[in-house]
Amino acid sequence: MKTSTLTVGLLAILLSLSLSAQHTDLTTEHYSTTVIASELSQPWAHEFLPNGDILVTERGGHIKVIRDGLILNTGVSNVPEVYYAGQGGLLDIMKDAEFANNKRIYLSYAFGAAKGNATRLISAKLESNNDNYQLSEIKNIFTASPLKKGPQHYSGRIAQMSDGSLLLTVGDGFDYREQAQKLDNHLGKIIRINHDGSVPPDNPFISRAGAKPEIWSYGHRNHQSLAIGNGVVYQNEHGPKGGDEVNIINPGNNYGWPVITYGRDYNGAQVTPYTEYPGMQQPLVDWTPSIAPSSMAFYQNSLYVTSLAEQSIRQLRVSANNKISDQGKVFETIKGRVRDISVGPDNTLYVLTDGDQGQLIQINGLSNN
Amino acid sequence: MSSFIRKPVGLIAAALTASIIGSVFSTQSVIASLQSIDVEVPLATRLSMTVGDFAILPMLGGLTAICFVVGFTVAALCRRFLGGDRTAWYVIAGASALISTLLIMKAVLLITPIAGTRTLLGLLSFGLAGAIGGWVFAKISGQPERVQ
Repeated sequence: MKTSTLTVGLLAILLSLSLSAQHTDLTTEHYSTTVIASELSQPWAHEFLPNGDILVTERGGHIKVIRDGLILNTGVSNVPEVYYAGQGGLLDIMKDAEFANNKRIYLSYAFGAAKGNATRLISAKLESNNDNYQLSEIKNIFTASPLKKGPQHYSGRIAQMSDGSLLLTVGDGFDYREQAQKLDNHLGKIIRINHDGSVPPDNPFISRAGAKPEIWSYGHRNHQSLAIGNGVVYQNEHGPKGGDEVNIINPGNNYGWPVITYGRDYNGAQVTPYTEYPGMQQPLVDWTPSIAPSSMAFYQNSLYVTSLAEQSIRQLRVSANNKISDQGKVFETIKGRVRDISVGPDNTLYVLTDGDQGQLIQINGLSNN
Repeated sequence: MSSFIRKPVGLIAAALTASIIGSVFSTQSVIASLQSIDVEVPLATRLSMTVGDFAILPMLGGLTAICFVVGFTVAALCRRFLGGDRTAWYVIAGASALISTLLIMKAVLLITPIAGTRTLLGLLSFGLAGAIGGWVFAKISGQPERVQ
């Protein structure tokens, strides 16, 4: 009797596991996590190399190399000096779409000093010799103008479009929020440049007198996330106290900051009397109160958004007509401030947790239909 | 009213006065910044936003009261050892206490805590609010005239 009950129970478990694996929609209910690496100091972003190594940027100005679950003693050398203060430091890392041929990577970081600093984007060749990686042929391909004071709101997320051009988010610098509405500077913008720093001829403001030609969209606050899925550019940004947003970015659009927002200043005062204004885009998703979105990955027709304040990962389902519905928190066993998320070469999700004991965690077991 | 009551009443009145004036100044500064980027703010919207920003008064009032306690204590000591006009000392103390607090908060938080004080004019307007708060404290907390 006991044996038959046990047998039936085991069959039921096997059947449920089988059904779970055959589910036609991505489910986040069944998953497991594997800690790939720990003891990362203020990690901000990660990138996978074709040989299986994983590069992790640390805001202090280091790039760690993870190989087979171990952090190599030798990181990447010849990393440019960064301005490490406040939200500044070494930020994003991304390999070129043609990395296999050109070994080119891109790094964003806070450049300068307290009284004059900016978001900068460089390209470099990543050379390797066994355990040793180093950057060479470093080229500064973009520095936001003008330099600003204060170590906040750099943004700094990089993405590459299908034509090879690069997108970079540039924050409003916190105390300079009105500059996000002006086209004569780079603060509060998404900029688009070619891999060598030149400006693509089809940028929206390239022919406008007085406008910075690199500008692709404007009216942003502190947008630390870009994700491209099915040719659509998704972005999210930190509002102040409330007013976190998810947007679809189209060239030339004005996303409203600081003229429209559902958030308030941290002290409770109004940033603006308006939540709508002619010529300004409404967010597809608004989080009030704030979750502090930090990164985003497009995966299986969903956007996965990591957050710092809510200390969570949220799933946003994207329908065929680009409607976005917030499914709420997923992968809730992952605790703490979550800084970065990506889809790895093995088609699983990887996340970086923030802080002095940051971890790189792989999320396994999701159906891949 | 005894001195024990006049001083706390004076402090509360001073903090409330300075906070209301500071809040109004800050809102006008934020609106001016919006207008500088061609945003239209009609009078009714301006008034509504000004009143709406009084939501920060509990926070701002508490902060102002704390910095006034420090500033007015220093003012009382200065007058005791250096002499001079009592009201003038409290006016100077009120202005410098608010400005110093905002600057210290900016240095610690690495952001400007009140958007309306991002400009020098905005910061000085909070100094004016603090000065008026100091004047209110001096008048309420002062010794009453002796009747001959």
